[in-house]
Amino acid sequence: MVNQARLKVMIRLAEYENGEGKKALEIRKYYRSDYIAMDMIKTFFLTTVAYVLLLGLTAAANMDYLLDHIDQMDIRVLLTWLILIYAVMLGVYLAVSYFRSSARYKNARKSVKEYEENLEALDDLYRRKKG
Amino acid sequence: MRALLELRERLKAFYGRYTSVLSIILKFALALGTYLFINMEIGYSSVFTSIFAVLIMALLSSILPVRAIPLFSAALITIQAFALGYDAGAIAFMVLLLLLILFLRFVPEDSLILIFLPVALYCGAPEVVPVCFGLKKKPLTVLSVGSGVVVYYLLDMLHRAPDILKAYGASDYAKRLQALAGGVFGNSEMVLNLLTLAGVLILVCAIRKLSFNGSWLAAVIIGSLFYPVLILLGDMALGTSHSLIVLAAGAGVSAAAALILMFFIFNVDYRKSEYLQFEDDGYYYYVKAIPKISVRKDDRKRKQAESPEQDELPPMVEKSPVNQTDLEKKLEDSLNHLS
Repeated sequence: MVNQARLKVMIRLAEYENGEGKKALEIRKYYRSDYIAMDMIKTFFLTTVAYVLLLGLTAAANMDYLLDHIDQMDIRVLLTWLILIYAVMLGVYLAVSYFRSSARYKNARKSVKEYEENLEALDDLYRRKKG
Repeated sequence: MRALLELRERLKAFYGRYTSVLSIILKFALALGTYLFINMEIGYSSVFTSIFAVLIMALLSSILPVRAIPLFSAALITIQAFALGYDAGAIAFMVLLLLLILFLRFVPEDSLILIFLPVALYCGAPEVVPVCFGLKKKPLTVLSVGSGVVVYYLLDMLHRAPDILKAYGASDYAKRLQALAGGVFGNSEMVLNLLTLAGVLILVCAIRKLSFNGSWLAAVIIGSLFYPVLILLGDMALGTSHSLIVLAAGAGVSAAAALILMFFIFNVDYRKSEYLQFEDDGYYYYVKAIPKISVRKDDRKRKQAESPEQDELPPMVEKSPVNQTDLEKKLEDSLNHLS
């Protein structure tokens, strides 16, 4: 015979696993520090790629100016500026990534809490039946 | 008003009943429209401009999440640009990848803005997008609005590219690249639209969150008027020109679309606002509760049973802001059926 109480909890658990809890459960597989570090490493590589693309597009848009003035440019000053802009851009994106992933982890923890309580309730129901 | 409320309830019920089918049909229509729009603007590849290819992509999009539409669109734009030339393709690919990495990965849920904004810009009423989405989204959506503007000007540049490139030989790669990249990034109108539309979105978000009566309506009106005013100021500063009639029509369309949206998502009766004040151990609470306008089911049934000549309207009822559907009870009932 169908155990209604158990079925109710199981439906709630399945609903969460396939709906709003999908992402939260994925995030909760990691430790907080690991999750944040992973997101920041991804951001580091993506920001670097974006910076190179941005540099390429800027150079393409100002090709005439670059070709005319390349011999008059102080390469050391130019490189300093390029590195400085890269550092600022990277810093901003890494900070955004840190705060974003921390908030996500916090929200996931809050969201999974109720799910874990339901799991415990289901476990209790099984034990009660065995006992 | 009553008829409109009933229509809204019926539409909601209809959508609720056929959600899965309607969602596929709507996604298909949206994808088809988007891909046809792209092909109309930059249909350089005969293979991908054919209705066959478009239909296949639209069909695929209809069974995938909505965010597949901007991704397919980006792929289509890149392919069409490569069909025009390697330089145009490279620029299109770089710009789209840049948008994805720098902005769009932070707002993955804003696909609709990316789809609608280029079309709205093409139609001359771009403010309709930030005004409507500002009523529901967060200020971070500004990233999608900005990206949508860049995508439109990228399409515009690729549309004009054959004329731009006519002046240069096939081997003048440096000159061609400069003309193409400059066509996107050196466009002062793009910067003006980007800043103005971002401003409209932030303004609408900020005003609708205020607690005064009619804040949503004020957000819609101010947001719709803000765009033409700033564009006219921008015209004076940059020496560009926009038609006053088009700007006024755009503001009208934007306000009308936002009011329709408001009717569906924020239809409240300010006259019945209640101000509550209470406290617990840690806080004092000052709460303003505004009832939603709704039509009760039994009122509708009663109206159907009465004669059609009846003029007197049954009273509007206020609906508690709390969702009153008893899910627990429904579950209990269905389980009783099971056992």
